[in-house]
Amino acid sequence: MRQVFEYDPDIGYRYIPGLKARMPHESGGYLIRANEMGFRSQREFIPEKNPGKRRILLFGDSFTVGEGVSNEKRYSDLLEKQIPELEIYNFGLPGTGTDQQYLACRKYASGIDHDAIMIVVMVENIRRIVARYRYYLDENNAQVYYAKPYFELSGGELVLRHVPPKKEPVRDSEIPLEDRAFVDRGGRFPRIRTFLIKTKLEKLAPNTLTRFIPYTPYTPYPEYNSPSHPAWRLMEAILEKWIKEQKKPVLLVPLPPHIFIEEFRVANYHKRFSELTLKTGCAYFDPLPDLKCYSMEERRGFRFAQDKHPSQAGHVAIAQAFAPAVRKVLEGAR
Amino acid sequence: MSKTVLGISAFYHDSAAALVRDSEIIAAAQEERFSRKKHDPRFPVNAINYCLEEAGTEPADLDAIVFYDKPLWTLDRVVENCLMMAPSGYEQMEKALRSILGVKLWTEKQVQHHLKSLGKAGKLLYTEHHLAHAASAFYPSPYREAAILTLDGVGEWATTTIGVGKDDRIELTHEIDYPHSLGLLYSAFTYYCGFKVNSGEYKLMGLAPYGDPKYVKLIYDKLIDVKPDGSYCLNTEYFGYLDRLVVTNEQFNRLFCGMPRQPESRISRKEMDLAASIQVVLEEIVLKMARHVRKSTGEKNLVLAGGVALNCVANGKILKEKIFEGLWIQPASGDAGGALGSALLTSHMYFGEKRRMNPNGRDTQKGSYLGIGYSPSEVRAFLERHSYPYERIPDLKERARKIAAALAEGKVIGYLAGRMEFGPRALGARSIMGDPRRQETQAQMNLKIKYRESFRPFAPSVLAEDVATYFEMDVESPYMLLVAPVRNEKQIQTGWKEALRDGGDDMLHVINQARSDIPAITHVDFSARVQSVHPEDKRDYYEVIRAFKDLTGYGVIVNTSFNVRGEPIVCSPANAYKCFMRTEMDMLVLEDCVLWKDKQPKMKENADWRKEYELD
Amino acid sequence: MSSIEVNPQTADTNSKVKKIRSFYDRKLLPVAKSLRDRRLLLFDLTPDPSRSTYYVQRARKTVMPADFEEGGCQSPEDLEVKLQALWKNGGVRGKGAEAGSVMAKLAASIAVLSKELYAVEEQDAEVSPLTYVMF
Repeated sequence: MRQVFEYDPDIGYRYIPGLKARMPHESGGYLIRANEMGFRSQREFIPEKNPGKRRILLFGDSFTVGEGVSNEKRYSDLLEKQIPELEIYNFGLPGTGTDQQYLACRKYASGIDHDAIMIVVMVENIRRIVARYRYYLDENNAQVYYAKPYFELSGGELVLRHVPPKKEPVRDSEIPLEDRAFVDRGGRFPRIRTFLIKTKLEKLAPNTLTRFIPYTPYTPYPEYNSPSHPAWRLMEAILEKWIKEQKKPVLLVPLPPHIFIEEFRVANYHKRFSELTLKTGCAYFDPLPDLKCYSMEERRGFRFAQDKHPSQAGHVAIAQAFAPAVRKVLEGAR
Repeated sequence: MSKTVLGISAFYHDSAAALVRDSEIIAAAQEERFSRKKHDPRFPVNAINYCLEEAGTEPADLDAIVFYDKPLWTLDRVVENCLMMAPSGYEQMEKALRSILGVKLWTEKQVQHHLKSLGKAGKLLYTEHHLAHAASAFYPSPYREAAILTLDGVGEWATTTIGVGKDDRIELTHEIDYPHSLGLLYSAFTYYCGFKVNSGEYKLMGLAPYGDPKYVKLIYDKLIDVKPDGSYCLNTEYFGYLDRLVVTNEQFNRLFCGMPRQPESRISRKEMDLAASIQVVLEEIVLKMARHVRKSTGEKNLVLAGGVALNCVANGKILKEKIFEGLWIQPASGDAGGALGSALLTSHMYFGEKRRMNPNGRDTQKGSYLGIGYSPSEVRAFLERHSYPYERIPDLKERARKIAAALAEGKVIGYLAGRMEFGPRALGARSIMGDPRRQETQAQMNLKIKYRESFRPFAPSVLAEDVATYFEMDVESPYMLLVAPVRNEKQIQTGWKEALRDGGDDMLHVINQARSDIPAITHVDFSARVQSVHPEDKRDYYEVIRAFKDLTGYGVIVNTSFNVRGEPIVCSPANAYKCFMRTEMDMLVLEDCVLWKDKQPKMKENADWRKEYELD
Repeated sequence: MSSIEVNPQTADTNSKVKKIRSFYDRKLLPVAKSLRDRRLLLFDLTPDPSRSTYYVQRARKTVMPADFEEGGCQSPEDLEVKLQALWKNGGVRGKGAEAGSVMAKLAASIAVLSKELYAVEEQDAEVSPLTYVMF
């Protein structure tokens, strides 16, 4: 498989400029193209707006960049089809946290004329922002760890660390002692996950476990349970800083992973985001109620069987849900 | 209306995929390059992925997906073979049925499983194996009309076919069927001389010049009957492939007075003489066939494909005899080329697409640079990620001069640039280069770079306009499929044959003798397997040789494939770097980046890396 | 990555091998004997000096679109039907109705065997160094 990312001293990495690659995947594979700025897009990102077009700059992680589907099948590209005057610059980067997405905005989006900004926070990102290292699978499918930039709250102020992050991957054993508590190993129960992968039960688990979770005391993302949780305070500080720096309207969207879409447990993150939007005055949209309107069978089809990312059907549903909120923001931006 | 067709070859040896759109070859690649397993026979998921990537196409958008073989017909042959051999041959039958009934008959299911689609046709198409070979030879050739000759081990039944191509259509009129096969005959000698079947045939070809053809009469008397028209029939009593898992048998061993040579053991005069003998027999048969085909078809051009067409010494003889005005050979003549041929055949004879000829009168194989390429950005991303020291030289001519200067100093250079070659030969996209003027180059490159037997010669890449300066050849040879002698006036007679006999078959002291002023590419019989480099096909490679000529007066360099022995040719910058660091190459060129060995960090690696690749 | 997931060297694999052996002994050998008894040779094993050429004319010189759709099969049932049809015509090379009708007796049992063997063969990444890979 091709190497698809290159080192970026501010964000950690981005796509190799000009990349054209086909990614093996359980769907049979999908095509990706990156522009010269190093983001997945069929078009180059230019500073001036195109005549007759309303431009939104979109930030998010792999759910937004469209892992598992090709460029034109992502919700951002589908939104453009639904709203003909709309042009979306998708700055999504897979595997990144909200912190890195903010840094991407700062580095690459300033100087690009736009009508609004959309920050799509995949709910799980609350774990990534506290991490100093994240694991990835390299082109040989080996597990490696990369350092990432991260923010710390110090005296109420955000302080940026690990910039530039170390270029080379490290083994688990090479992570400094003081950082070992801040390694994102993919979930709260990495050992269970590893067990499921090794025994190939993981292929059964996504559907099986999801059905049982509501009957367990398991709470996904307890970081959202209290406004004073350190992880939420960090997330809140990053988003607040990001939103306040914008001169154009901001639409904030928490994107729920499948576990919320497919079961009846109340999403505990909604309250935190609502509080934040009251504080900052940004626009807010929660797509979960719209997504839950579909039948259970349809909802299960919103993601791939093994991979948790939105499937083609998932992106269609997300675009459908987002469209009214996007139109409203654009109206407000006139 | 434009049609996009994906062709697949798989499950025998050298799985591959090729994609043709609007009758143009868009992409083709062998699976082994991606999987790093030599001659990988598995379903080519990676090669297919690459072809779809290059075309920017999803499987559901393919107009057709076609397989290069008819498994049902192969089953017919397997069963008939078992019936003929019974009660012997159980072991072979068991293996054959497990393979065909277990895997090969269900190719459509495999395609559906891996691609999640059968394209717009909604079903897998199939071409006959030799028709795929024929198509791979005819359609990319520069000829509107040509005679067709295909020769291999065996397809479903056919081992040899004769036909004619005219405009968009191919007709195969005659064939020779299993168990009578020139490819199998040659493979028998390959095995007997201690080389691996399916991969060692060209080593036997390289050994031939060392020997005397003293077994020719014995071969004709006992093993094969050849008619004046070149058609032949084997005496299968001497071969094991009908009822066992080894290509020869005890009768064969008795005929040649001994057991097969053990692989990696010392090569004796007997193997040299056997190699020489079977090469003579092969050439005689192929020449007879060529004359017969000329006469029976009336065509003035000939196209060749099938594994036997990789015998470039025989090809050179066809050229030399001037039986035809034009000769074109598919560079990927083995099974891998079947993927390309089946896609082309489907385009023209299933969909009725018109053939695209090259307006400049050359072929449409695009130099056979049909595989994966990496942009300068991708190369830099790789180097930066690992912090490998490099120098970027974006200007082509400046880079060429730097490379040429290093070559002229005797440095050995690994070169990865542009799209990867399709076919077994490296043609300047994935090559190791050396200075042909130095006597020590051949030994040095064999032992320190390729880690291989030293009797095997290297091949030259020569500027297209300088071919006739160095070789007795007046045609272009862009694919290294033609052997020609070094020009008479450049040859240095050394009395090597007598020295070899006196030296007790020790080839080493013969190999390093200078037989011309370009000794590294001059074989013991003064022959060379030539690649003529045209600026239109590979501008960057042409410029390197051009710069070397400006420096030294020689428009020719050593070109060998970028790999160590047993390893597939490198594919990616990562493969190239690894190979570079594992060998004693001096410089590595990755697109516009130049790396020096002495500046690289020490590679942390298992000392047993040589066991990673089984010796071929 | 192998094309088909298997469990190599299991009791299940051994039972498949037994089924092949049983097919060979109980189905194939009698058909082979029948062909020999009728002196039906499916192909020549040795040269014939009396012949002027060993080239055979191909029955089909050109290829039609319909030809692209034959040569594979989709299921064991489909395999049986296609083998019957193929062998009643004397096989790929048309070896005559008599030989074909003898061989056609194997179609059903081969189809049954294919059900047993499907996905039993791990697609090996190693190509044989001892003999040409022809099946």
